[in-house]
Amino acid sequence: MTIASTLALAAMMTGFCGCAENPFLQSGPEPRVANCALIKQATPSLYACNGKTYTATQLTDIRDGKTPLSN
Amino acid sequence: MKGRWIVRLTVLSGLLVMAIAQPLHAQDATSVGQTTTLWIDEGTGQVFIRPGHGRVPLTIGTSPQQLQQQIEETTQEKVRAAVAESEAQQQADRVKLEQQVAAMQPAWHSYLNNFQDKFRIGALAYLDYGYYTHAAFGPQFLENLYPPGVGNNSYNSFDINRIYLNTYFSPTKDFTFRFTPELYRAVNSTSSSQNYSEGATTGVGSNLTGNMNLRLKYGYLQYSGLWDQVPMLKGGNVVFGAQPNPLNSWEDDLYGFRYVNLNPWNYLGLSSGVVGMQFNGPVKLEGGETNYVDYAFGAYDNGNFHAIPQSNSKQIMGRASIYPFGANWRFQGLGLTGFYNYGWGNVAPDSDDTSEALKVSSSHFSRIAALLHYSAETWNIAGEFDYGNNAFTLSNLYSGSGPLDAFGTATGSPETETGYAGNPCSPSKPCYGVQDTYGPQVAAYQAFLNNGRSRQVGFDLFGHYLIPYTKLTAFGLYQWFLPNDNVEEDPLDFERFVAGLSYQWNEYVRIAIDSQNLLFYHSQFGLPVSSLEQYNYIPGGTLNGRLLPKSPGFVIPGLVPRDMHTIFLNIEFAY
Repeated sequence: MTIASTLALAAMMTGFCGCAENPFLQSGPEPRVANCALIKQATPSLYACNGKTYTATQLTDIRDGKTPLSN
Repeated sequence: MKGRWIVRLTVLSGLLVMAIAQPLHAQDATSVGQTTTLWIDEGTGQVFIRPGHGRVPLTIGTSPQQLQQQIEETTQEKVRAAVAESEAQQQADRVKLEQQVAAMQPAWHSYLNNFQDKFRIGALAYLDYGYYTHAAFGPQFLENLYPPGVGNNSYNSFDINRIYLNTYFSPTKDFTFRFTPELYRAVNSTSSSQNYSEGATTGVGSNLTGNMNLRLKYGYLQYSGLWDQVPMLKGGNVVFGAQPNPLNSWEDDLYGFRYVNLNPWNYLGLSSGVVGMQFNGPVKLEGGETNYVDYAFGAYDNGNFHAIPQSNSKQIMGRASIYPFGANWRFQGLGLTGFYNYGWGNVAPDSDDTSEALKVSSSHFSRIAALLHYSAETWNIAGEFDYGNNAFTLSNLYSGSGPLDAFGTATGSPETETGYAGNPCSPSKPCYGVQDTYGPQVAAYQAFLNNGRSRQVGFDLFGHYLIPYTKLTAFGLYQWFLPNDNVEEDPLDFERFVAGLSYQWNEYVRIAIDSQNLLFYHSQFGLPVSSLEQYNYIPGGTLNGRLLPKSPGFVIPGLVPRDMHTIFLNIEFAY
């Protein structure tokens, strides 16, 4: 399966989805894990976002609104 | 008259005094509580010793009842006062005790608080579904994958290729013990000798192949305070035990898609786990947080983490990554990385001296990797040059699966006519033919790869790119490899490429769909025995009980292996 066909399939799914939020697009507060570089797979994993380092659990807390957006 | 009464009164008083004036003993209990009653005429004031008309009693002293009552009243007052004081004290003590109890940590509460701060547990799982449009023999694309080879197109399977349980114990800030068990698939001989017998007539079948077993992957002690007093080296540590080698884990983190495919040297057989002692750390030239160098080097057993060490020598490995413009986070910006590995075959000293034509088991090996890489937060790209000596053997070529001839079983019909391929073939001394068999080809590959003088050269390119505003990342890897560039035209030269799309579900789960391919890119050809002989192929030698072609001009055909093409769905869970 080529990348182009996969993207087309994803686009079709967004059209048929009828969902309020497109699952293939980013949403939520920054920083978002998709925009971050995975720099170490460990316990917990580490990500670099906007020049700062976050753990996976910190990014989860930001996404869930448990932590202020800027540290 | 009046004087007589005074005299009588005086005498009477004197008598009265004498009557009651007794020695007063301080401790005399008999005198306590005694009373004397006189009688007073209220009209005249005279005192009489007997009652009479118009006389009222005059009691001197205290009666026992009165005394008792006084004592009781006094005692009760004192008791009441004491009780009140005691109650007040008890109240104060109770308040104090309650405060102490509230502040006091139960043993289990204290233990849990400490445990929480000093213990971490996590899990890692790589799961996949693989569809082999073109099945073939070759190295495994991922751990624990052993697909059937040529002739099994459309083979497909759900697999578990990695499960870790990571536990970290840090009783103090500078000591950490890591224990990581992993799952692996057992592969065992299916020989009838593996079955179990009970008594004289009972048998039980046994086949351990396929079981997912548990074994130790990492178990090490790390000390992190080594360079605390040296600002430039602060953060460095020393590790002792079964641990990641200096290259594989680092490169897996650089690539970022280990759950999809192996990095170049890992694919070629460099195990990610080693047992030994290693130093790791950053070098911060200006003493700040910007990193310019990070390093890892150490000495290890020659075998990998699941091999019994046998040799009396050790292998060394070292990696250094330089960031000329500084890196504020790991891998940031431009980086140059060099890796070097040197060691010897994992062979016991007493068998190391035996003479053999194919010396790979006892020869030295080396690996070099040189990388140029650039990383940003949403994309990266890396190029790598690989060089090695005796670092890719027949067992690495067939780490996924190979023909039976490479694993002790002859295939194809034997040739028994004498003179075939220059051999004295007979039913008692059968020879390998070239039809429906891989025997002669396996012998040729052994000569190319296991002769103790092979030289590997390779080049790789890999990277990824986040599609903006989406959770989708395109990634890919290209590997070109010459298993022995001393061979003028090596049929085993190959290319591997991986291309796919990864979806970031959340911080812990990713899903990828990708294509993985192994291409032996030469056009099909054969080589004569005379050409193979220079690589220590033994004309007329024996493999699996059959004689190999001997005549110098006899051509062993079909040396270029079949390609492998697959489509994978890979899932990663990391916590």
